[in-house]
Amino acid sequence: MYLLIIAVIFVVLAGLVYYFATKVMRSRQTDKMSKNYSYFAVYVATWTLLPSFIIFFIGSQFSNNLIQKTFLSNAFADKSEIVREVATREVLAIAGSIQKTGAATVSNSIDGIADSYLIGLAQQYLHYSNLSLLGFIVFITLLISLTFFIIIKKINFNSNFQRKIEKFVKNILLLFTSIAVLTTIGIVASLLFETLKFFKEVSIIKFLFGTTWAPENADFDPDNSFGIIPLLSGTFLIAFISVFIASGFGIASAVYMSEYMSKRMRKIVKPIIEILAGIPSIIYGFFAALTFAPFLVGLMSSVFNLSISSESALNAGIVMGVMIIPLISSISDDILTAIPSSMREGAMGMGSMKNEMIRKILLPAALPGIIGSILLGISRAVGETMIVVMAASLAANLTFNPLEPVTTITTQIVMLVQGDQEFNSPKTLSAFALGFVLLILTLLLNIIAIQIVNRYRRKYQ
Amino acid sequence: MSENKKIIVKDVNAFYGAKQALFDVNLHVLEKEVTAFIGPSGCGKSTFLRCLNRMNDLIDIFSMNGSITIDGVEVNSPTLDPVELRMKVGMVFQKPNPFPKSIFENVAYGLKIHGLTSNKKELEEIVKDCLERVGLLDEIKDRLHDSAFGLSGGQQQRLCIARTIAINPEIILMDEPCSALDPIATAKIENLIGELSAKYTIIIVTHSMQQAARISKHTAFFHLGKLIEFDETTKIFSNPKNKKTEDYITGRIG
Amino acid sequence: MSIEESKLKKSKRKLVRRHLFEKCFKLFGILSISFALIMLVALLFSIFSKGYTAFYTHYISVDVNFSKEILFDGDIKESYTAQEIRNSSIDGIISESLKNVLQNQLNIDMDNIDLNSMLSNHATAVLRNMMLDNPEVIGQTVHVSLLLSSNVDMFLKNYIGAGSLLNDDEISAIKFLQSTKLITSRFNTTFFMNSDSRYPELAGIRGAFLGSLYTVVLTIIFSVVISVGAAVYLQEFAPRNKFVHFIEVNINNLAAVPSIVFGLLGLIVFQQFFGVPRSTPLLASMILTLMALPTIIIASRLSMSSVPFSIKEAAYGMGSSRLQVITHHLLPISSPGILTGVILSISRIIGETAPVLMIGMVAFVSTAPAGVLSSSVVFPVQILLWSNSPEAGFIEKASAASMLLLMFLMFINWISIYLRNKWEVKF
Repeated sequence: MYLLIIAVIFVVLAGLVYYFATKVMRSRQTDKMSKNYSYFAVYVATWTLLPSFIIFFIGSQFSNNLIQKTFLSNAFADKSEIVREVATREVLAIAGSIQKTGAATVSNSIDGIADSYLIGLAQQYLHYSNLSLLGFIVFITLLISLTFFIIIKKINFNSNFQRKIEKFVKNILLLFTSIAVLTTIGIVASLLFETLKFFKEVSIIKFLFGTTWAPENADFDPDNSFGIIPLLSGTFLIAFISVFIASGFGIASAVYMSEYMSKRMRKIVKPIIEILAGIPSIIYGFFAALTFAPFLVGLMSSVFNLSISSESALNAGIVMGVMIIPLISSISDDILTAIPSSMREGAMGMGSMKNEMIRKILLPAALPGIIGSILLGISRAVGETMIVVMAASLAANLTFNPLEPVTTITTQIVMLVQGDQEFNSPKTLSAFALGFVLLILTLLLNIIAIQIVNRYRRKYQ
Repeated sequence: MSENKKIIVKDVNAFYGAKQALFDVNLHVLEKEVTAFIGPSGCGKSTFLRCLNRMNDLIDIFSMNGSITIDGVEVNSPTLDPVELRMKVGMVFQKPNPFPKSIFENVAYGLKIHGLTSNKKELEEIVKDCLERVGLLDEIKDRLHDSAFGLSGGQQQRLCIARTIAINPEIILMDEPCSALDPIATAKIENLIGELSAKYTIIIVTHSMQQAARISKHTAFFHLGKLIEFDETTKIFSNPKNKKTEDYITGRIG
Repeated sequence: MSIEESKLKKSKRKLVRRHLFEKCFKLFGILSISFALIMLVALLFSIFSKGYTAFYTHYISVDVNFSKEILFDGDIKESYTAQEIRNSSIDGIISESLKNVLQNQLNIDMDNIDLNSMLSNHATAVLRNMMLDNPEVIGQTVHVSLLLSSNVDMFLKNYIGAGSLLNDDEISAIKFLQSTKLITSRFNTTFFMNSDSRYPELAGIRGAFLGSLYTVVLTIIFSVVISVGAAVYLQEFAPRNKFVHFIEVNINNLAAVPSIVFGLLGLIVFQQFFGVPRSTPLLASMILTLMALPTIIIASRLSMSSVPFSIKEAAYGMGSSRLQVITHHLLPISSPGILTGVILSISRIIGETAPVLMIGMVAFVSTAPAGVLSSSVVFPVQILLWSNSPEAGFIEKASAASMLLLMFLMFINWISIYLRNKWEVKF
């Protein structure tokens, strides 16, 4: 409601400014083309409303905070800090309910403070905040009128407003574009900053080469509880299982689809396989933990007589592999179809079997691209979170046995950050160090993969 | 020269889906002789050529009826393995299409997949011999293990011919083998075809009448999927029986 | 026999082996595709078969005697205050009414049955509200339908068998009630109208749905404005210099950053540095916007670059300004491609879990979020929370929520394909 009123007020003001600006322009110039009026009006409206809008936005936040801080904390000045905080929140909640439904309802009574007192405070608070809102609206209207007249007085009516607006828009768009860069800078800077903080507490050598990962011991032996090696081994064990599955089945499906299937069949089968890529990883995780793990345990013990943990690397790896199949198969498929059909004809014309043509001519030619897709798959698998959070273990075992439980970098990040939120404890900080390692690993894999794929693509174009 | 009919074609109709590409084609090809198929583009001559070694099997929507026999064996018989057929009936394509391998590997490919030799030394000899016969060996003697993509267009096409003759076919089909080449390379290939005709039955599709006149003994003229005229080359060019042939040869259609 | 002939013979023998190998090769291809398809079917089947039962639930219809004797522990008067009603022993009348139904069943040992645990806590609340709204019912017998507890519901849906959760007497009681048609199943409105709850039978997806809705709507607004703007800049205004190339490389690399890293970024930059409130749709949408950017920018640029130059030329030739060319021609023509990109990235964003875990959207929130600034969970996180619970009732709810999520994603995909086919302009 509140926001709607403000939005309406701003729209009305903008309309007024636009209208008056057009009027002023018309009275000044009669010979120009009508097009310039609207540009002029938009220009004036932008510069009139923008400062006011910014002032309003900052001011309203500030004033609300001010009312909350001074008025409400004065009201509970005699109470302890926790009570004060709880009471303040309750008063705000009551005020919210008054605004919404008109009735004051106290959902959580607070010991030592009467409900009626809280309701009274809430009404008072609403009164003040309405008052400040009203004051703001008056102030903003005056401010807008003032800026409007200043701009009209100072402006050069002969300048090219079209170009000015274009330039303004261009700069806004540049700002949007740079968000991508800012994000990268933000990622690197924030991770780096926290990682450096972490390395103040824990030696970097012990972190990179330590073989014990036990953040629960961080309080008494921080230097020896953060060894990343078991996490790396677990991450790559699962990643390799998944990519092994995905590349085997993915490449074979791509070959079969592009070389053996009729176009009609392919049009049906390919999108179905690509459904696998669209399923959220949380659902894969759910499937892995609740359906596939018991199945695998049963299969292993009954058929192979092997005992396998229900949180084994194999379980998470296979399900993750299924998720990555479409990635590898669609890139491989693209690459195979990019190979000119004259290659196929040449080989078939000499009496090759299809498989000989594929194995001896197509696959060697497509090899770099396929390796690129496999690297992309590894990068996906290393950064994948939800499947391993749900299906892998929390215990950091340094093992390469796929039947045993292992943990991964991403699982540990989730566990460390989800817990307590002490931002300066080595436990939380280690999550950022892990994030930094993860970022570097995936970026490296990606850059190499994309280089290989691109170099290959150029070869036939 | 024998008057041995190597290939006999009877009432062949071919279709791409519902569209008919060939209409009742009847002809025969003599052994160890060059036969040329000419005609304007899209007349079905390439389609027909590809029926002879069942390359059209690779196209889903293609179908045909009628009979094609090679040495009395029905080409389209389901019991005939197309792999065996293509070993016997080699093919050279319009655009040179060497495999993305070394020159040596290109020629050795067919020998390897068909298991024609297991002896490394013998393999090398055959490869060199084939390259020699297409006149390529001297030009690329020291580059035998370089990529085949490094060769010029004409060299690549001769390599493709060497690749084909390495598996010792009886018939070689050539689908406009010179259309992507310059005149000098073309001349070399034409000479080569002449030499090869002593040993192989060669069928060449070409849109160049001069080329057909230069190298072939018999010529077939196709127009809109129909075989218009089939006769000795000299007769076709000097004294065509059909009006359409005459129009084509004199440049009025095509 | 000449050498040639012997060679040919050898080659022929090899041909048999080659054909066999070809068959194996083909078979492997078919197996691979089948593996992918079988896993897909297994996944869908396991989720749908476990999930669809959540759409109905079981009630029991019984006569409840609001006996003053039991309710108020012998304190019999004309009327009772609200406080007295609140404190009354509702459990007592519930077990009494169940006992009445079961009393003639000699094979069931009544002492062995925890009658109150057979019904949901919701039943107590329903009866209490009946008394508060209409105090006349006190002292009368009323026929009511009451929600059964999750354990009973799960037994009826064959999720759990006899064992630790229900003893033999309880099971025979349930079977008896079922045979007398006192237990009925109904469409589970609770699942759609409630938010999360400590009790599986009362847990619903409303809160998660609204949380996801707010998050996704905000993300769409932010990401479309920013990425279409960025795409227009890169396509129409940007000079071909190193900086712009750097931006392009940057956008491509951003697409490869694991989602959890975006969560860490949001935690540090948005939550810690800018003070955006934790666990809220606003904070989540800020992170998800950054994740959606690369996909939409790349799709938009691709779509814009396919607009033929001749159209722009024609517009310029008519005296249009650059902005007019963009708003009148470039954006309308490329909008189907942009839309496809938006839908694609949104369908990824809806299922995204890891980054929102980082900003604490995993708290137990039992009320639906009121707005973008109130704590909430999103759909995939709700699945995670439920699937981590030991109760079978929550697993069923998690499957049902996954099922809804999957159906929604398929629907969205279908829409995007439909719109693309409908609007696509070919040049």
